[in-house]
Amino acid sequence: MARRSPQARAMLRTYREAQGYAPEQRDEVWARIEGSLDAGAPQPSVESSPTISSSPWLMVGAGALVIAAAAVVLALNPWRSEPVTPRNPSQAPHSAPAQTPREVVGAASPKPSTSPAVEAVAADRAELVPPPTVAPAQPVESKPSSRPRPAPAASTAQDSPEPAADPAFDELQAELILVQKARRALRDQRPTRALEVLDAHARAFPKGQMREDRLVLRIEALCAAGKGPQARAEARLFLRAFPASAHAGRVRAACSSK
Amino acid sequence: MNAWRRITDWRRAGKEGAVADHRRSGSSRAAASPDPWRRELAEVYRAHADFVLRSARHLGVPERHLDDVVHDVFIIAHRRLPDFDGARGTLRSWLFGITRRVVLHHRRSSARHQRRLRVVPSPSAHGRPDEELARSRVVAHIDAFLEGLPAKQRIVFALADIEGMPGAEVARSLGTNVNTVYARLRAARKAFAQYLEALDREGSSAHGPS
Repeated sequence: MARRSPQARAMLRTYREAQGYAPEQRDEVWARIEGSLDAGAPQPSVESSPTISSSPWLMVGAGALVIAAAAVVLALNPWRSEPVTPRNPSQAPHSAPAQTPREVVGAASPKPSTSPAVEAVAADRAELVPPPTVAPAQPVESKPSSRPRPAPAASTAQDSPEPAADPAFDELQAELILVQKARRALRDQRPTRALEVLDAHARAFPKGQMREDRLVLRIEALCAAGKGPQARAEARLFLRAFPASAHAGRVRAACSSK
Repeated sequence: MNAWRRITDWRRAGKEGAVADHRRSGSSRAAASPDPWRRELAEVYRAHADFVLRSARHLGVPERHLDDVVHDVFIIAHRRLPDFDGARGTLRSWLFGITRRVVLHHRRSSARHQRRLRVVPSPSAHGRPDEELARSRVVAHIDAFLEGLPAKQRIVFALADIEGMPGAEVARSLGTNVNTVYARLRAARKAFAQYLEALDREGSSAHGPS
């Protein structure tokens, strides 16, 4: 391995120090992050989100567990081969006892409902969440046990070990993806497209966490589309609604260069 | 690393203890927020915002989009903090993973080589004019050097030699093996040494007898 000279080390140290944020700039970005977190609907509870859904390996493991459990249930199920004599007198003789493993899994784990916007960006989601950085040699059981969390309120979650998608996280990612699309469109000088995307965001997440970002981008897109008066009117409304917004300066400057 | 320890402690203490601790010693909106992870995020941000910023820069994000990337990284990090598992890697490599994904998204529609040659130092440099001039030269030289490196060597060099990550952590962050990391690092260091030599030669010929 080539050694670095003291001169090289000193230069790299200087570079590293010079490339960080200035304190006021760091605070500004933090204020923006807090603004986005505060904006719109109340913060969805992080604690209630299932953890397993974050890792594809864990999902595979949990899915395998579900199937194995279903297989065991079916193997031990005395009704499967003798469907005519139910043990429980209250049970109707025609109640279908022979469920396939797929049916058992499906019954035990209802699919969480997701918004169309969430489904629309499902393909993009995988790219935003980093994959596990370690080889999946770790025992599958270790992850859930390492995270003490309150049990989800819904009783079905206890019945079913299959991981459910985290709707709050899905929604936030869907919001982020839409906002990013709008930003890209704006950056590519396609303000009309940006406005369309922002409208889609407004329809899907009227009180979303990124509402403030959406409004700011909309004002900028309106300016870029040559709709100065409308942009200025919306900017005034924005500043009235969010006087302490971290975006206030950006909103005030939005149409000034046009 | 301190932030990671706190997260682990929080998990051990459970939610209630964490919320109590959060209310006891928090500050500003982060402390006032009912969201117990906000303060953790604030701490992670304080400790690693510069790292995320530099990583985004090393990954080729144009200067004007850096704040957007940092913003998005920490919004996602906020959601993912409860899932962070210290046994699977460091907080830095976890943040780098998020940064990489966010940068990919940002980069989709922008040209691959929009990386800005940074000649002027960031406003964080507060010092005497001569110091700032020297600093700005160093920044410009290293930016120019990084610009000339192949992308794979550049990111390894940046993480290992600028950010000070150990080779194994770099490998984990990039999802590659350690030998590959060391091979790229070796090549990048060699190129850097040659670059510095060329700079020295230029300097001495500029100041030498004419």
